[in-house]
Amino acid sequence: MTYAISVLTLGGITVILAMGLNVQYGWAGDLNLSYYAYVALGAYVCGVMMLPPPNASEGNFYVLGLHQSFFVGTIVAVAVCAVVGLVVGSIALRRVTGDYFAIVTLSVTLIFYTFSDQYAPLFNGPQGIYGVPHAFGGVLRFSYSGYNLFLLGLVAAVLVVVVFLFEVLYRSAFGRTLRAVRDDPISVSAFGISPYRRKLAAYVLGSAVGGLGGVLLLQYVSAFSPAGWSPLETFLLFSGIIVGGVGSVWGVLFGASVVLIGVPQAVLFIPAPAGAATFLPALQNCIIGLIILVFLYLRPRGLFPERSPVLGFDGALKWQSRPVRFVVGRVRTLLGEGAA
Amino acid sequence: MTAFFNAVGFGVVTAALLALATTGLSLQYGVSRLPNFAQGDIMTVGAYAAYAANGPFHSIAIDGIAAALAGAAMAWLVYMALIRPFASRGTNRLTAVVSTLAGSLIIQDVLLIIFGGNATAFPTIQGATEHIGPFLFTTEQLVIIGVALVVIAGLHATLKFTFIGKAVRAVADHRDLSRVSGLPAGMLTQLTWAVSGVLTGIAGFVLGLTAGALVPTLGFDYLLIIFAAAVVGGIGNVGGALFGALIVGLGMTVAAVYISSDYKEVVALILLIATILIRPTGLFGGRSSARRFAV
Repeated sequence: MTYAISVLTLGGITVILAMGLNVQYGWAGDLNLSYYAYVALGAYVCGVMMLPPPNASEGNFYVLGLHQSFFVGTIVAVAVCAVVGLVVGSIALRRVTGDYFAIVTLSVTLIFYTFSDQYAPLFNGPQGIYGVPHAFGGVLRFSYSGYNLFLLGLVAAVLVVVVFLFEVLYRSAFGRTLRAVRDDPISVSAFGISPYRRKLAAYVLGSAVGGLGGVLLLQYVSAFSPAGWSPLETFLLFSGIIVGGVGSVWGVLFGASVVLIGVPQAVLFIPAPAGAATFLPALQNCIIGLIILVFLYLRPRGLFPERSPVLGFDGALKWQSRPVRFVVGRVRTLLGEGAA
Repeated sequence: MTAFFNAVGFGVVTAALLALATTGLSLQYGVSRLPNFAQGDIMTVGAYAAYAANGPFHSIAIDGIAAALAGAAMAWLVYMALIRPFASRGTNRLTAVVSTLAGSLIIQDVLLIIFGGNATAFPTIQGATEHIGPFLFTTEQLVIIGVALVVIAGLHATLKFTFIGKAVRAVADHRDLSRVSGLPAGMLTQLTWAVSGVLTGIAGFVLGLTAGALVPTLGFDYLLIIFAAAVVGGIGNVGGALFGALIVGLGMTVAAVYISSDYKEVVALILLIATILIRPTGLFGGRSSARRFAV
C-alpha cells in the first residue's frame, strides 16, 4: 500500500511535468531541452525558502534560508521560474527557433547544472539541500503514512487543476493561435499576431508549471541535489508526449501515465543480474528510447492525436482530429516552396 | 607564464580532438542539414571499441583502427535508423532531431548495460616529455596532434581533389541538382556519414587517451563542446571547424587555469550561446550560409 502510494505520487508529479512540457513542445512547437532546469530551480527555490538559515558549522551553505511556509515557498518558486523563463525565453526565442533553440536551451541547462553542482554558496553544491520540512507540517501534524497519503491527494489535486486549465487553454483563442504559430508562423504574423510573443507566453507558462512540479518533487523526496537529476531527464518526459499525442491534453495525460509510470514498474519484473545496480535503470531508458523511435516511425501523431476545430458549413466549430493545416501546407508547396 | 604556455599546449591537444569530432559533425550537417545529438555517443562507441581491441592486441595503432571502424559503423547506423526514415518522409525536421536524442539515450544505456557504470581504465601511450618552443608536450599529446592533422588534411584533399569528394560536395551543395546530374545522392550521403564516423570514432579514441578512463556518458558530456566549436567556426566547412576547435579548445584550457577547471565547459557553452545569438553564421560563415541555416 505504501509502495503504491509512493509510485502514484511520483507518477502524478511526472504527468504534471509532461503536461507543462507539452505546452512548449506540443503547442508552441519548440524543442525545449531546458525544461528540467526549471523543475530543479523550482525545487531548489522552494527548498531554500522553507529551510532555516544554513548552519555553516555543519558545512552547509545556501542562499536565503528564510524558514517560510510551504505556501509562500511554492508561490516564490513558481514566480522565480516564470521570471527566469521570461528572461531566458525573451533572449532565446527572439533570435532562434528550431534546432538552434534546442542547442541553446540544452546549453542553458548544462550551465545551470554546473553552477548548482560546483558553486556551493548557491544551493549547497554536490550535497544539495536536504531535510526540507513537510508541507503544512506545522498545521496538520500528520503521521508519516498519513502525510504520504496527504501528499498524494495534493498531487492529484494539482494534476486535476492543471489538466482542467490546459483543456480550457487548448480550446481558447490563445491555444489555437499558439498551435497556428507552430504550424505556420508566417500566416499568423500576416494576421498581425506576433509569433514571438505567443511562443514566449508558452515558454513562461511551461516553465512555471515545471517549477510547480519541481516543488512537488521536492516535497516527495524532501531533498534535492545535482545527483538527483540530469539534463537528459527532460527527454524522458518527451516519451509521454510523443506516445500520447503531441499537443493533445488527454493524450499526454494517458501517454505519460502509461510510459512514465508503467514502464519503470514493468521493468522491475525483469530479473537483473546480481551486483549490477545500473542494469534496470539503463534497461528502462533503452525501452523508453525505443518506444519513442517506434512511435516516431509508425504513429508520429501519437495514440490520441490532437483535435483541431474546423468551420462547418453551418458556421459552427467542429472538432476533428485531422487539421486543415495539411491542405494549407500542400497548397503552399505547390505555389513554389521548391524555389526557395 | 609557464602555466599559461602549458595551458596553451594542452589547449592545442583539446583543439585537435575537437577538430576531428567537429569536422565529422560538419560533414554530417553538410549532407543532412541536421544537428546530430548522438554525435557525442558515436565518440563513446569509438573509445569503447579501442578499449575492447586493446585487450587481445595491445597495440595503439590497432586500437585507433578499431575506433575508426566502430565509429564508421555507428555513424552509418545513426543515419540509417534515426535520420533517413524522417528525411525521406519530409516531416517536421525537429522529428529527426528528437530521434537522434532518442538514439543518444539508447546508445548510452546499451553501453551502460554492457560495460557497467564504473570508470574503465584506458590504455595510455608511454613516453618522455618534449619541449617545443615554450610548450611542453608528452609523446601522447604529439601523437594526438599528428593524427588529427593527418586525418583532417587527408579528408580535405579527398574532398577537394578526388571525384568522390567533388560528388559529396555537390550533394551537400544542392541535393536535387546533383541527382539530376546522375550522382547517387543516397549512397553518397551514406558514405559521408560513414566517413564522418571514422573521424568521430578516432576523436573518441583520442578523448579516451586524454581522459584515461571511460564512462558511458563520456562523449555526451562533450557534445555541446563539439557544437560550440562547429558553430563558432561556422558549421559546414573544414577550415571553420579547425578554427572553431582552436578557439574553443584554447578558451577552455586557458579558462581552466585562470578561473577554475570546474567551469571550463561553461566557457565553451557561453561561446556557443553568444555565437548563436549574435552571429549564427559563425566567425567564418558567409552571408549565404546564414540563409541556409535559418530554420
